[in-house]
Amino acid sequence: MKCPEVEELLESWQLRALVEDEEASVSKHLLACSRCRTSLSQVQALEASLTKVTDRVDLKERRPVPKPVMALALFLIAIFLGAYGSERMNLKQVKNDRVSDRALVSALSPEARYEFLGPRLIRLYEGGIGLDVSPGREAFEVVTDFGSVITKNASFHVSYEEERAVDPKSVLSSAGILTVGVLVGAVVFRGDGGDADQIGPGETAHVSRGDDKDDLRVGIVPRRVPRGEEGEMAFAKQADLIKNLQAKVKELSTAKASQAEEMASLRQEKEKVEASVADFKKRQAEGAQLEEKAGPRDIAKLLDLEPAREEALVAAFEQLEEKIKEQEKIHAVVKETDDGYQIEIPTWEKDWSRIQTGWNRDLAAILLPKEMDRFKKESMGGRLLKDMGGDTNRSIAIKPGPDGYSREETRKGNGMMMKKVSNGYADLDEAVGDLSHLIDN
Amino acid sequence: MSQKCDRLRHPHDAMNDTTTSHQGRRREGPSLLDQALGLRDQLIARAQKVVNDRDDAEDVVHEVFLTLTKYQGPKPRRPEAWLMQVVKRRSIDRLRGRVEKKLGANQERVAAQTISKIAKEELRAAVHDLREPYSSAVRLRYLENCSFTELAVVFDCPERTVRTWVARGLATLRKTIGGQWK
Repeated sequence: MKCPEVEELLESWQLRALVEDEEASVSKHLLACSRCRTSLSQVQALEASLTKVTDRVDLKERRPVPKPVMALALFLIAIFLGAYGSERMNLKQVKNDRVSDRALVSALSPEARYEFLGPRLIRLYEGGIGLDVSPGREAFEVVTDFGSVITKNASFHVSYEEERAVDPKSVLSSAGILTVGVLVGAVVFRGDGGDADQIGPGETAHVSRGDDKDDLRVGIVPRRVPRGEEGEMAFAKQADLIKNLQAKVKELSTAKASQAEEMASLRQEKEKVEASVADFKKRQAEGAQLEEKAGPRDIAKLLDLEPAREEALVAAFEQLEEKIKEQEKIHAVVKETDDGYQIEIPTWEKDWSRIQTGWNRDLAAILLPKEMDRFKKESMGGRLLKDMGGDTNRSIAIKPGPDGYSREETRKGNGMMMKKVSNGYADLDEAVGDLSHLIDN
Repeated sequence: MSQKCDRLRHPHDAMNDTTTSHQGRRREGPSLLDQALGLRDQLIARAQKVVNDRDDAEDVVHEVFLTLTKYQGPKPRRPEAWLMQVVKRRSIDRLRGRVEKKLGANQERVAAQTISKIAKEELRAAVHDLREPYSSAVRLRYLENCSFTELAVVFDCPERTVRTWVARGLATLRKTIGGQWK
């Protein structure tokens, strides 16, 4: 890394804003280059200067305001309040000074009435007093009819004018008003209801009773004198934080609402699924009952067959089933489907066979037409039976042979058996019709 | 959730955490220290690559070992990578320390000169003239003494972004008023 490059990255290095590799490279360069180190010291100096720009008042370290300054300040506050505050304020002169526990209290008007209830507790009955409070063991409190003014360390003024009749002959009365003005530091006004408001340096608050007797209103007069930019920045910072938090609350509310919607839709879906499951179970039970009532199903009906022939075929299969049971060779009949019985005709040889598949996938029966001589010279074989019989355990195939005999092949698992059974048939229907006979033999 | 947070924590921070309960630890397998001891040579090589000094590298790794004896945080998912990262971070810190040491008194002198030479109002005006968001970032950081974490919350962006903003603000300020102390 070279000097110009490092020069650009010094601030980022100082604030640890660099990625690790860059940070290591800049560090190495700084160790080696005194010029860049000088620049870095300027950056650090700039940082130090910036931290000292602010004239923030540190309440802990603030020294007590000298008496003449205090008197002048209170006088200025009096002028200020006279100009911008209540007309009722009559701040004529400093009447007397009383020193309490690290606090100086001055009456600002002849009619000011107050008393010390404790070393750092004053009860103000009427009139205005100026206070310069230094930090003590506990907070300093000024109690009035409207609430308390509390501080640990501030120069401020409190003025209270009680409610009184405008005219002795009238029922009308002027509202009581409490005025708190802060010169240095900050005070907290706490109403009887527990509400609290902070009053900062250069600010004056007026507290008056609202329509309801218990309703106190704290109002800051329009003229605010913030102490420089940093005061505004603190305010802006708080405002930003509040804004940020409000945005987050809003975001969370939106997310919560969308989740609630999602939950509602999921609940609906769940109800639907539950309803359909219940319905299915109900129908299943009904179906089971019907099946039970109906008893064993009838044997299938072959397609496109005369009733008599169908009966013969059905009978043949029934016999076949019985025979299988007896001989453990073949059982079952044609597969039953919703449309009747399934007869599969393979597409690769559509004109030569019919396959009947047993309902329990145990048996496939295949009939071959006489004119079908494709397999004259070869056995119908395992392939045929496997292909035709599909995944049934057993298959039976009947093929009219060229020698006038028909052949019957059976398959049980992978084992094949063929035998010559009778003369050939004129056509497929004949073979079908004579199936029972063939099987019997 | 806490597991995820632990995974996202910087190794350096995670290692300094000695408050995590033992319940969060994975007890299976060798301890982190055992693994680190097994990787000693690699770790030293890693540190040396950063600090350019064998002795310093060994010191860094030794410090890491010492810290590991007190470490009670959750065991990382990939201990080897985690240890390497910790050593790298510590090595960079050591480098920074060396730079700071070299700056020494010279820095104080320049700082004092700067403060005396530049009027506060000028500095304030210069900060004010910065472009946003650099101006706000610098003001909040130095005039309001906000931490970077607070700034990240205020600006609603990552902490490193805020650090970069402040750094750019400082860089601009240095260029603007730098001539006054040169």
